[in-house]
Amino acid sequence: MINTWFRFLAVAMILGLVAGCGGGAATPKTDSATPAPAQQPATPKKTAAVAATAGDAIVLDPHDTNDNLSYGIENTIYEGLVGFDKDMKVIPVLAESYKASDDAMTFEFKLRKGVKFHTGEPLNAAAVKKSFDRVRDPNNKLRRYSLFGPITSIETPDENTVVFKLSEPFGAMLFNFAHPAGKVIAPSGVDKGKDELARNPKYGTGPFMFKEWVQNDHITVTKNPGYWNAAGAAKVESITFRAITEAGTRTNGLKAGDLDWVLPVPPVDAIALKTDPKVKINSAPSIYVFYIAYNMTKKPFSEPKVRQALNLAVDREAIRKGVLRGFAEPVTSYLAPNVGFYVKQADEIKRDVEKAKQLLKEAGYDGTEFELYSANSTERKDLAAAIIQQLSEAGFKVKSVPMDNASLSTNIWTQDKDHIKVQMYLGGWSTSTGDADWAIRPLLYGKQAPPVGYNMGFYDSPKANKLIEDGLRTADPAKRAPIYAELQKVLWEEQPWVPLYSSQNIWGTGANVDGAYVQGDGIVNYNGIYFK
Amino acid sequence: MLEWQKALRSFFKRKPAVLGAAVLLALILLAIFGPQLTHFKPTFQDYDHMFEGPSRLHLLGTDQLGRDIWSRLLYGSRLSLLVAASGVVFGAVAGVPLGLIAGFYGKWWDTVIMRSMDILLAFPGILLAIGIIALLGPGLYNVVAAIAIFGVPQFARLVRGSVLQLKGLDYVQAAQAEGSGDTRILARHILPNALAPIMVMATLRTAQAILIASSLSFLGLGAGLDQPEWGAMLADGRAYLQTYPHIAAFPGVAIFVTVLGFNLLGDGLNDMLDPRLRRNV
Amino acid sequence: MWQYALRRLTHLIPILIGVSVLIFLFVRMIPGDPARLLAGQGATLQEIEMVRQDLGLDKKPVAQYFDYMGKALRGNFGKSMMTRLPVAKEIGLRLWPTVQLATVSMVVAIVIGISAGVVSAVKRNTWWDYTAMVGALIGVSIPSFWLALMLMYLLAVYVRVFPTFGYGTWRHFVMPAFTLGVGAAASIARFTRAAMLEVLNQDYVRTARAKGVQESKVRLKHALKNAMIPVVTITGLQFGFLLGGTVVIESVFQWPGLGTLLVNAVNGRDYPVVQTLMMLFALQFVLINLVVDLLYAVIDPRIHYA
Repeated sequence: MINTWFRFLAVAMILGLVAGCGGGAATPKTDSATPAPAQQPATPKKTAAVAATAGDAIVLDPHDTNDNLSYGIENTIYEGLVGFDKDMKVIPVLAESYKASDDAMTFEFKLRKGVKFHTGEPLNAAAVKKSFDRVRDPNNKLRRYSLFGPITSIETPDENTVVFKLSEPFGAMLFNFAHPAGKVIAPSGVDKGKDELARNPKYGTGPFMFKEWVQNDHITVTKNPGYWNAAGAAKVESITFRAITEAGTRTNGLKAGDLDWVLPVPPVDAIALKTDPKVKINSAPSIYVFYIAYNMTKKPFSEPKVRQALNLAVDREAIRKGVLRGFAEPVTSYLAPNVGFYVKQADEIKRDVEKAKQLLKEAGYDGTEFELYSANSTERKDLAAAIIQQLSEAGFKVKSVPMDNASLSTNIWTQDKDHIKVQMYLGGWSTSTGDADWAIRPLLYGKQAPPVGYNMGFYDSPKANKLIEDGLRTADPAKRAPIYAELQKVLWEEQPWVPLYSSQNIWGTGANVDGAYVQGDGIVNYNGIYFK
Repeated sequence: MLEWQKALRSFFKRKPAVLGAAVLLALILLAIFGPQLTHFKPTFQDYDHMFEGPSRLHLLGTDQLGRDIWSRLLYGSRLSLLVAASGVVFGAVAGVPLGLIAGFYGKWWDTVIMRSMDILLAFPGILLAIGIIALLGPGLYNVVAAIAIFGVPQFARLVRGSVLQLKGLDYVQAAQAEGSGDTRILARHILPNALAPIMVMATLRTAQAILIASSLSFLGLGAGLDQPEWGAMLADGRAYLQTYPHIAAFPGVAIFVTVLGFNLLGDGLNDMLDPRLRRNV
Repeated sequence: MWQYALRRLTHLIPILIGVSVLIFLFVRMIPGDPARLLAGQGATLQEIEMVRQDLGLDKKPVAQYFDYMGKALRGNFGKSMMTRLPVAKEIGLRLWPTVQLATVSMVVAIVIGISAGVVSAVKRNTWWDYTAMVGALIGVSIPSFWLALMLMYLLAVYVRVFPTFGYGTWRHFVMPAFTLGVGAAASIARFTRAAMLEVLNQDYVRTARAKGVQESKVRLKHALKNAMIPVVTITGLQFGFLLGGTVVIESVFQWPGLGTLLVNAVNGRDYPVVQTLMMLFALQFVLINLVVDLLYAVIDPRIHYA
């Protein structure tokens, strides 16, 4: 019995070895993060890029996606008729040209010739029709259905022309086509169906082709040698997207050179990394606007003076410079500057605590405590803490109620104005289509109050409602511009929100990496990535 | 000399235990009088002094919102000691009797109690926390409850194991043969001899409870903003570990000191109460 | 004993059914609507309804339950609501890496924990003891993310010995297994020490010592064996928790484990995944605790199960 102890150890070790060795054989090996041997000579220019994402993609079916991370990866494989350029302006992609009728009910696209899908099938009007018929059919139950639901018929007068007819005027439709969900999927892919398209996105026309997806680990795309656009062709042989949830790990990976491209980089790390010669930190304004909405149908927020006091009590500059370390833009309208039809209303609202106090007094606010709902991430909780301190200095009594997203969405979006418990909500919004309409309508249109839409403040202004409706009656930018200018003015005056700031996207790259960028909507365009 | 006087004297002979008691006493005093020891409010934010290292003004520096870490630690000590203590006390009060019954009576008692414990063990903490918060609303006391519940099955399993072993010992069987009542056997013969692992578990749980609070806080399910708490402070510091390590380090040290205190005291108490170890000093 | 084990295994059926009912009710009781979450921010009511039908959540809850269980009995646990992958595959992909990491970490924990515990009990109140126990206390109070990121900085960024993250070769195991092992080792060391001290003071051990039997023999033969009960209990518990996956370590080292899957599924209210995982965890704990109970009888023959 003397060797009980040793026997015990030996068994434990063998178990460990079995487990350790067995793994190699049973599962795909990933060695991209293995350190390079110490004295390796300077390698020739790298051709395989490694990009870190904050999590795994959910599905890679553009018609069934609703998260920016998956869209970014899909964008390397799939293309739409139109798309966005770096400044979120609509540009032709698979369509050579397009035109909309004056009543915003007919949209015609001329297709580029000679484009082939990765499957070898040709891109033609029939393929485009088949792809859009898929997403607009409610029986397919695709998550991006509503973007293309207004389409009543798709006609293909010739091989290279597609005409979309809508049920009612929808002036923002072009932006829906440019939306990352407006991708064209090869006919054979459409035939294979939802489960195949979710996991095996092999049916695009883009500069990269899908190679593999190892769940929770990485996704790899490789260069498409037959890409139609020489100017936009891939400059690297492959891109590997690694799902890394921990910010500290992404930062370390960037420093160690295991990662070439990282989004997001936390502001504090970004500042620290700026002195690292091996790393380059970039930031650019997003089209997200952060705001506090309040239930305008109930006291105290039904009182305009209280709303005005709220707006004056918040110190936006301190939030931008302090809490967000300078990585934020001032809000000067209810639209972010990079959204079409943006018109600056005024400078950022300046803090005036004295005036806020006085307004509160006039309004007869009795000091009742109210709750500020927000998501429960550390960043959002810090933001709420800062706002609450600022409001309390003006005499408000506010309590923070942070919640996980699932609970939060049920609390905020599912109750009508007589049943909702939430009085104030701190959140952010970006227009996923890049158009002014979708930046405002879901959140501030009278008919979009919960549970139908996302107008949690129950803002119902006849003036604003009419302008929102008018903006959709035409697709002519010249006619829409004055409407949205007026709408922004009305919103700025009526103050249905406390607008806070517009955020920035921060990303890091190796010092020798360039060409990829983050769009204002937070979706990455990886297609141009290259090594210097 | 009375029994308790003997015990007290024997306690004061044990230096580590006395040290542990002193550490805990100091922590309790800090928790009570802490607010007098700082002129900063724990929630007061100062954007001109963020991420500062220790200085004369801010003894332990400031955090990501320019809040004074020293005063947050002081104010947070109440909550964190509560988390630690209630995590232990509730776990022990519910878990120990369950383990005693399951181990001693066996059969159906054992099956029902221990399989329920298995289910509770398997129940993911994040789900339990979301559920409790959904039922009772967000707030620290509900999180404390969640943490306390996690401890029950661990105590129960540990105690049951010891009981199974002790049940077979001669003197327990002799007592049973003599016709001593079950309660008496459990209280006089079994519980005292099962005390050592219970004590170790109790002292370790203090650390685990605060760390669970920390991970719940990182998942967004921790205390509210108005109440500083060491676990939450630690979780906050995670994002700044490589840039401003002091934000996580100070709450980390506070947790360590607390755990040290509980462990030293726990060892001492164990020596004192355990019939076999006592005679051996 | 085998009869006992068999009987315990038959208990699995009511346990798993109980767990499935419990978790089914629980996940539907907590707020959060998977259809709304999946449809995404900005989705219309119509889209949300479409997703709900697609997921089969428009059916009556009782029907949903029997649907799931009926298929589960035939080995089909449904599809993940989020990724559309079969739940069995979703879990299968992560189960093996989780088991591997848990096993290796446990070996690290047992080796460090038992050695430290034995040494500090035998050399009680010496510097050996103090060092080991203060070390153990640091081990339990150190947050795993702290140790993990420090190790990573030291061994992957500063000195490039091990890969920063990922899963595959033995090198990928070193940092995560050590981080997890240290935490568990600390508890094991404390229990080993306490139990050893107790046993070393029992009459028969002291008699054996007095009789002059070689000291080390006494320690190993009598003490360790009888001291093992609480240590085995706690090791079983630790192993069970590790088998449930560890969110922190998985996210720091990009390890494809069950912990991350669980948190994502809970956050997305991915009912089939949460439900199946919960049944898996219950199964794991029942089996581990059965093994632990059988080990009791092996360690101490006086323990017998009727």
